[in-house]
Amino acid sequence: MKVTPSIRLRAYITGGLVGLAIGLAAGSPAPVMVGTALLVIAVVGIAGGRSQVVTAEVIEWPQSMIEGEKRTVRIRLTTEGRAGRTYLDLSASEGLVVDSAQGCRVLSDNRLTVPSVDGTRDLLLAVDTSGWGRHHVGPIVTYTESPLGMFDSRNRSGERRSWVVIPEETALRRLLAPIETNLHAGDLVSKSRGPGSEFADLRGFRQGDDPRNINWRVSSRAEGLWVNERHPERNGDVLLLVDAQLESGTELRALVDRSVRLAAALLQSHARHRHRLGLVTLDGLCRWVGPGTGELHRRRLLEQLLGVVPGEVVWDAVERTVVRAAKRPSMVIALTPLLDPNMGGLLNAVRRSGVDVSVIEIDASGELPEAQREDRALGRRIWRLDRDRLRDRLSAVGIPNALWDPADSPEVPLHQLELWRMSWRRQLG
Amino acid sequence: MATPTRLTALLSVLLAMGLNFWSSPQAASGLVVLVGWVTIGLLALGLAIGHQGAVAAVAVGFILRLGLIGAVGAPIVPDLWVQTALLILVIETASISFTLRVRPIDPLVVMLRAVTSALLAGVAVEMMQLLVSGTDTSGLLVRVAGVAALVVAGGWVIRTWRRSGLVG
Repeated sequence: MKVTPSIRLRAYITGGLVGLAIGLAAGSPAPVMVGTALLVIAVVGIAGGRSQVVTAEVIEWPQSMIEGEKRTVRIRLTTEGRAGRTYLDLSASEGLVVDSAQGCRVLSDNRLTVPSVDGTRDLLLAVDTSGWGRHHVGPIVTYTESPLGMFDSRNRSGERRSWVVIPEETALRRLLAPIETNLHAGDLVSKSRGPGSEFADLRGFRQGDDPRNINWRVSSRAEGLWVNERHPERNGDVLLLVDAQLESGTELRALVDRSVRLAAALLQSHARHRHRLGLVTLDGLCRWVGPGTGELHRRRLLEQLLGVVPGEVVWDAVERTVVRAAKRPSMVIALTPLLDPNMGGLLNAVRRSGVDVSVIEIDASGELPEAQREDRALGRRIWRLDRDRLRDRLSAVGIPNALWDPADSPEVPLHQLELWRMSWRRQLG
Repeated sequence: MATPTRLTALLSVLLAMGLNFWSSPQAASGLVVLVGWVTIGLLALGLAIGHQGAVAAVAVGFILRLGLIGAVGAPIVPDLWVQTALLILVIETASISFTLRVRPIDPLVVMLRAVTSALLAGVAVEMMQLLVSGTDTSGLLVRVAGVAALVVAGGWVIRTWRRSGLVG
């Protein structure tokens, strides 16, 4: 909180005094008159009153919002007396835009102006966001002018209020179903036997069997009693591995953006099937949330996902961490552009631990500049061959991978992975 | 530096140059012209590096220049109220430029305030000219008061300069 005389007040007083002094010393009336005029403006300005300190606080903000959606933020301004024209700097995050406002006028760069504040005044802002992630408003800096603009006051108040902006929801109708199921009730038919509705097999009656499971039709034609065995309905564990690494000096943020958008769509679609969901993000750090269910868990996952800051991961201990997070019976879906050579090794290690791994490769070729020179074109060709080799090696160890072209729907690579799995099962007999 | 900051700084320097060209009569000595250009140079330098003392400097420079014109006995052209109004506009636009570096402002309000201040100061000067026309200002008492005022003004200028700093 600071009240200071404005630059113009200092200039008027300085000019005015110098004008009087020069005029009187030189016996010339012109500087005296100009100096007096400047002093008159300064005196009138000072007599107009000093500026009041205005405190601003965000009192209502969204907990989360979907990208492109408009939500309301309420800001309360308070002052002890009557404050003059007040300007607010929202200190808002990049991508957050104040679309319209009630009770104030929107200037450029998320700055607002209020003609006056008398006691308390509430401002209603309709905010819009471009881009997913964590957005915030505050602490708000208020600048208040005295009625004639001769004094300025500056006050930084309120706390930072942040919320998560979820990417626009993409409904995925086709999803990759986990091969193995866990012990929780769900929609998937488990390979194990137990109480359920899907018929599995017949076996002889044993003591303790539920009489309701006796298959009377078979028992009447065979010797002894026969009971139906069934597959229980269970759900699966789905773990998303989001590669948000970005080599310094490259402009490949679009790849991370696509990975995160697809991961958000997968999380929301799998949550509808009641699968237990987990997440591992590789950005500057390797962070993970183990599989779980429920709205709170889903919010945690989204918060972690949307909080990724593209950077270079330190690979020490990453493999151990990911293998620990991706335990059987999880199904791991890796969303990666496969640009980091360590990524292939990590996927291989997870697969070796017996976990079902699939890779959706985010196509990076569209983001690279066109190779103009012959040597660069040759280098690019070698790089493509190298990537083909990596894909083949992954396929050879039982890791299906599908390239996701940005022009295609996200369901295309999921369908390709499902086809790959079916053909793999056929090959295995 | 944002575009509005640059534009207001440019406008301020252009107005100062206009005042200097317009109010430099043929009869004025080279010293008057030199003081004018030095003032404009200080203003431009202050706006470029962000030193807010430039606003006070431009006010002092142009008033000093006016005193020199009176001392050499050259006519005051254009009218004093026009020069005052222009000087106020220079001060206002320069202070807008500095203010824009640190906080948002409503351009309409500040420009309206600048024009109003300029017109009011012009009217005040014109009225004072009517009041003091024909008055003898060469007496000893006037000189003594002048020296005393000079000491006070010098102290104020030093204080202002010490409290000024880089902006933005």
